[in-house]
Amino acid sequence: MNRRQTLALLAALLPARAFAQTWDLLDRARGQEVFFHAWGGDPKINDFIAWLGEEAAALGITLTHVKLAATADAVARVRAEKAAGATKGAVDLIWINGENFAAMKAEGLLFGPFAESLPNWPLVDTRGKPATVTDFTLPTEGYESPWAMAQLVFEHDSAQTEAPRSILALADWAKANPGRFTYPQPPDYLGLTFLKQVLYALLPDPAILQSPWVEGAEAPLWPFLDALHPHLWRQGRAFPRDEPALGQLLAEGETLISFAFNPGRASAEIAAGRLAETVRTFVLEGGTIGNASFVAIPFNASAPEGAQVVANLILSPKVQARAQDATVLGFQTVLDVASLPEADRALFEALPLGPATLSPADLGPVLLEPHASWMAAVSGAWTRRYGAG
Amino acid sequence: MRAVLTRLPLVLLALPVAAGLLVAVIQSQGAWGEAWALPGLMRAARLSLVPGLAATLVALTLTGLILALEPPGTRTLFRLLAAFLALPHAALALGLAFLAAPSGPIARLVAPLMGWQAPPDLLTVGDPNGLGLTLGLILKETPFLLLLALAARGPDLRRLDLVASTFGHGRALRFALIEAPLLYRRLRLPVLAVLAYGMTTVDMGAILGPGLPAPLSVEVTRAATRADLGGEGLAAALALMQLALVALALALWRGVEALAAALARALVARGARGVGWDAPLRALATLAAWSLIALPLAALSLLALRVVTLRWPFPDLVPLLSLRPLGQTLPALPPLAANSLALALASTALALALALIALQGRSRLEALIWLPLILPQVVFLPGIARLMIGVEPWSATLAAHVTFALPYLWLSLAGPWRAWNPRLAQVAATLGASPARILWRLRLPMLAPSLAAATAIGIAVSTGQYLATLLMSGGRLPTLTTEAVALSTGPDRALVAALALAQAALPLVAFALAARVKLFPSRPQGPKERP
Repeated sequence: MNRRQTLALLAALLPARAFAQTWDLLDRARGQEVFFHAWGGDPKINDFIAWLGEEAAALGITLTHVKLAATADAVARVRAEKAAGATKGAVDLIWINGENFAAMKAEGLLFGPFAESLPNWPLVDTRGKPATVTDFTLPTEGYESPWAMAQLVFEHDSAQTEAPRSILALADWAKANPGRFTYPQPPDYLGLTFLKQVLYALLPDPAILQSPWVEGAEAPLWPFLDALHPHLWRQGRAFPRDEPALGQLLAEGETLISFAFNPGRASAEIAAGRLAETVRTFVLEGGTIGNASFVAIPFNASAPEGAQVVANLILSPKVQARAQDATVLGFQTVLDVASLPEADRALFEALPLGPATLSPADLGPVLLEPHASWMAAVSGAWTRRYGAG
Repeated sequence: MRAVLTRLPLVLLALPVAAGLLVAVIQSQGAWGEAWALPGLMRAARLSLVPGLAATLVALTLTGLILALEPPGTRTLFRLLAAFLALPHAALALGLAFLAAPSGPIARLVAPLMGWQAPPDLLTVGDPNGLGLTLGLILKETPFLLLLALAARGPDLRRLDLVASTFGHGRALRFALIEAPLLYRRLRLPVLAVLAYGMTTVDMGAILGPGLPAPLSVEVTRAATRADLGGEGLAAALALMQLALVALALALWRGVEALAAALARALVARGARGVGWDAPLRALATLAAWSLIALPLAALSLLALRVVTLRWPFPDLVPLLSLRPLGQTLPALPPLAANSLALALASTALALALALIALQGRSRLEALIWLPLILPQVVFLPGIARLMIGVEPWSATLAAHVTFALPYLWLSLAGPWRAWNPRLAQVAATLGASPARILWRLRLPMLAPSLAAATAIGIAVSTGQYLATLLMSGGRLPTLTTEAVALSTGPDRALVAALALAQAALPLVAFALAARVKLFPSRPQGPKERP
């Protein structure tokens, strides 16, 4: 363990006062109010951020969650502020990834680089979880700090059906069970993730997904979807709007197989009493797509110091372990748990997995997100093909 | 000087919207090709035009039928008007969608007969022709028109009706020929607002409308909120198309008006009395009145049931209930409600003052009042937000709320205000009353019911603002609505339902109070009082 790691660990373990001596940002952050713009759709996440606020309060920071319906709302605000030349912005910290990050970074809307100088940064498993430093193939370069890992998992009602373990098996299953499977309508990100997973299965050389999309590269997708759609929910004449709508269909028994980007979602929903106890998760042979969620700081944040302290707090084992608790969020940690000190590792090992969650070993290989250009290309082509009804 | 003063509110209103519009025009440059190539553009446009026109026509017809014939159920309907008006569009849409869904209560009731073990794979919500959307709009807009009609139906119209009743016409025809034209003149602007709303609604369109393609307004929002942030130009271009479409619809509506007038003249020329029409029309009106009561009530009850529902396995008739979601929701509400209330009261008071100032004169500028109603918010709000950056969040948000409340207030007040008999003012003036005294002691008190209704509408409009509140305040002013919309994108249906109902609470109080300002006829005149 190098000196920086030791320091970071000390910082995480010592009370706030002693921590301050190792990181002068803490003093400047004290008394600041940090406005955290984050999707506010899920009460479980809202409760978690409220709890995070209590932790931040111990460091003298007031954390205020601005609940968004879409991250783009906050990006629009920052963009408007830049156009107006506003220096004291409304957004201090923003939950972000993928295209929103790419756009903000490209337009110079971000503060940083800051992530790699956070005291807790050395705990991040950048080697085992390359998605923590590569956001949809775009290097993060310290302009955003990871906070949770996500991986596509499929969900099925084990009382009613078996789990097909590949995309082709899933298509056969849909044929045999008409109307019991669907995916969110692109450009919803989860719907597109499903299509990208299909591409991984259909492309002769999936490695091309890591390079920018070229005309016609996604071609194998369309005959597959043309054949699949008549067997989907509502015969493919309508699609659920987004991930919650998809989850709702599973909860109400309209579909029997579903999927989510949070491997712990099913367990957490079962714990909340909203999903049948018989629902289980599974992954596909060959792996499923995974990515990370990040926090970033706008270029004109009013409290950049406080925002960095919160980003660092999010990387602490205590916060990460709580987020991974299936009864809290069920998010997978971004840290390298194996190299944590004994006491911190115990926090993770003590976590109940939940009835439906796969263990980290059973989650299987993580496939990297394709280059962001695939998303736009597939989304546009999908809408042209199927969007006109 | 006076002319400048009375035009000032209109200019104040139009400036930011025009600026936002200008931003949209600039942004749309280069995106027109993409906009015209939007898959299903023509269907998206039709899904905006047809439900908008159809719902307005039906809502207006039902309003007339119910006012003319006062079928059984009218009193109950009038008593419930406040509640239905207070119910946010999205809440009603959610309740209706749940009612009609293949996993909803109707399907559960027939499941044993059909042998369904799982929800049937039927496309009931989001039908490709927008019938569900049209029905939702009718259910929401008829109470709105009824409320304004009741407020605008002064004693002068009732006296006319009494006189006309001696000519021996049937009640429906008598209403259509005598009272309706005069009443419609007072209601015309709100009717046009209903038309514009039906065409541009995003929340009802997204919940009850189809998705492949969605109504144009929903496509605008989809483009504007695209994750790659590249949809700004497309959204702006689509929004300008939407603007043209609304203009087209308003022109078409003029045709509808002309047609109705021609029909009335033809009936008079033929000497039609319509005595035999009342019975079948009364049956229709009765059906309409009870549907207008039963469907929203069913939607509302289902929403309330949802608040305490954990899970509802199909085909059980009773869900798994729990008070836990309610217990989680309630503590969070008071601060949100306080922000909603403060914004609603302040913006409505300001908008009312501005509307009254603007009504002291007449001007061509009045056309500007339409801008905030027919332009999709998502298009011009970012532009305004850009202009307002640096303004303290509360004031900026308040200004935006006034921008949206003012048109509704003005439109609901203008008809009754201008229908006020100016001879009363002349009489008062000859008795020595000053113009100010005439305004404060005569005109305003006489228009109290309309003022009260307008105030309640203003409060409802302000309470319902999502995008305006979020963008203007930079998220510094969480309200019941910002919370409700954020949660509606999430998995917890119980919370969504709870917030939707909480959102209805403030306007409900406002409408209930407004109803006490001698809003409804003290006693609907029964058949006994008419020959």
